Amino acid sequence: MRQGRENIIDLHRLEFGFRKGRSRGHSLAGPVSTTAFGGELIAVMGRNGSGKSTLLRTISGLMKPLQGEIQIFNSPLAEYSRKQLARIMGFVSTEVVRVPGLRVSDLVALGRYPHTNWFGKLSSSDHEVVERALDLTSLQALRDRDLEELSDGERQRAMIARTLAQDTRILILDEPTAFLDLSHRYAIIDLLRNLALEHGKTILYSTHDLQIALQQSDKIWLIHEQAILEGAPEDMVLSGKLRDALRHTDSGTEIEMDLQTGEFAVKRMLHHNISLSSRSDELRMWTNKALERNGFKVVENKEASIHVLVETRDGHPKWTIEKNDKRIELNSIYDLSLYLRTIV
Amino acid sequence: MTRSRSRNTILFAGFTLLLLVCFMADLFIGSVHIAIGDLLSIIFSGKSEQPEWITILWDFRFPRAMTAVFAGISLSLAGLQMQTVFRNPLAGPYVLGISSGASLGVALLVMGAVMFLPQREFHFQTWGVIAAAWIGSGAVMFLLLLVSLRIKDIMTILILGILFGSITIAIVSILQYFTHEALLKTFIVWTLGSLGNVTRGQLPVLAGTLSAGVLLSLVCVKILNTLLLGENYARSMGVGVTTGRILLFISTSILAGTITAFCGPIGFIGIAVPHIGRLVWKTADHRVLIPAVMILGAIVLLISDMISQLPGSDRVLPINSVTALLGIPVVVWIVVRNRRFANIS
Repeated sequence: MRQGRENIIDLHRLEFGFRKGRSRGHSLAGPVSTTAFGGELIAVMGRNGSGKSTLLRTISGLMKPLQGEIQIFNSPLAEYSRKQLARIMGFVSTEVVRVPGLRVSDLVALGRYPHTNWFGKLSSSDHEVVERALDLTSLQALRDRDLEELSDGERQRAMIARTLAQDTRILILDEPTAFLDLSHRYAIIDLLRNLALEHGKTILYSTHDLQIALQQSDKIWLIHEQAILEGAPEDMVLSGKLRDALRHTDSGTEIEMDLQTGEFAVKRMLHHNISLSSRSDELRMWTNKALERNGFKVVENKEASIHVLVETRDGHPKWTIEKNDKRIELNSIYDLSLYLRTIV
Repeated sequence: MTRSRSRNTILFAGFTLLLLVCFMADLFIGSVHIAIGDLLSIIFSGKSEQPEWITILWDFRFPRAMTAVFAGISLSLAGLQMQTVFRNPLAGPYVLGISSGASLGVALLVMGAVMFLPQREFHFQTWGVIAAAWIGSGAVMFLLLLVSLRIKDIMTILILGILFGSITIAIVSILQYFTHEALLKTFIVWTLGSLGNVTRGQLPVLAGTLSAGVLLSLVCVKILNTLLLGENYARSMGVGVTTGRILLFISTSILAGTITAFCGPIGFIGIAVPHIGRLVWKTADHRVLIPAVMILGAIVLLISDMISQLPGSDRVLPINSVTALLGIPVVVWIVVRNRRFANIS
């Protein structure tokens, strides 16, 4: 049930940043104008300090815009009461919540608060929504556990489940995959992907995880030089926008994006020529990576004085190095690297 | 869910029974020995072989036990609220500087007034002391409300509360330095706390005021629960955090300020009891914790009162020392158990 081009969040010449006292404040970016449509999963990216969190907090209504306007469902954000907003927009922050004695199911039930009476009494339909949120996040087995006892990944899932119980069309998550290992990162983003796809939710999340953002998002909002660059992840790669925005680091190290894979790598100075031959593409690729890391540039046979041959014998890969008619055979890339360091 | 609900019901029934037992025991204990049979006949038939026992029971022991119940309820509830609002396990009813404000009020009355008037006898039971303590704690609360309207950061509010308290203590010290010995003792005795100064006639006033505080707390039960997750989450769930804080500050000031006015400052109950409540009921839900800490607080203060009577002797310990001796081990245990304090704030 994907909504077509229904405008969910509109930024109109929005300028966001920190307000300091009564002065105009410190602007991080803007004016920017863009739109999030129904059912879209949008990754908000940008370097540290570029304003990802600030943008998300401004859209959530936790911070006021410095200039311009945000519209939610075609009405100005400022005209919503806090309570109305809580029914259409859920928020997960980076803050690690530690509450002794708070059970997972109670935490998720807190999400129903915008829908309940003054005492927070849950009706049977409220209970159903809570159960569904626990199901969607695979938390049924952990429902009676204390929040303190959960791992980082489980806690993050519980915080997301609470937002799901809030039953909002919009979800905003500030770095939901921080502190998580690779498989949990994929699990969280996959969950968000399903929520957008199956339940038509519009989801904004900030991340530094380029790989996952490229694979899983409908759109990337890249905050760069006070503007938001946007597009499908693939457009962002092809147009070189991602590469340009992320290339330079403050310390002067340059990183370069591989347009084939979308991977970033530190740009290296390659001092030595080496030739590499192998029948297996896989072996060639991984050996190549190791050679580059050690400062070798893979070139044609005749331009190199060192030659590496990778082949599989008896089911095991073997690396043969030849230099000045001297041959040596090695069993791993690690041994190869050690050896290469001794001969140059 | 149903299992934890029936567990709660059993706990509430059990502790309510314990409360009744403690209340009766507190009536039983005192320097004059009244047998249980006589005690029951005074309570239920209103008759006794010795008429002065009726006076002892109704004019001394009953108001004292009721005061213990009220004080236990108020201080524990105030402590619970402040621990949640400040997200700090060591917060208590006096964290806002309420007791220091009350001390200043009483000090100004007891010692300050004498600077201008000739020396005079002073009685604790007078409404003057109560009013002075109330005005003192009210003034501190008013200052804090003004601050919290302007300042959103809860740690800043906490620090300012502590600083306000320090200023009032400094002023009290100056007053103490310049005052007569007799009046100084009068003031010191007030700071030791006492449950025995409330008369039967004052009980309805105490009950009425405290009900307002409890009611405010109940109105804020959802706000309290969302504040567990921090203010950003509370806001994102539609809660007006500033309004909620102000309501809870007012509730705390009513609860802790009134008890301090009538009984003097009584320490450590407000910090320790909420933790015992969370431990026994195994929950963070204020819909359970509010009634839980009210019952527990009343029980703990009744027991403290019994200990302070030193059964078997005709001497009485200051209630503040007893609650400190009972409460501090609990606080020590919280600190030791919770070594990762840095992560909490």
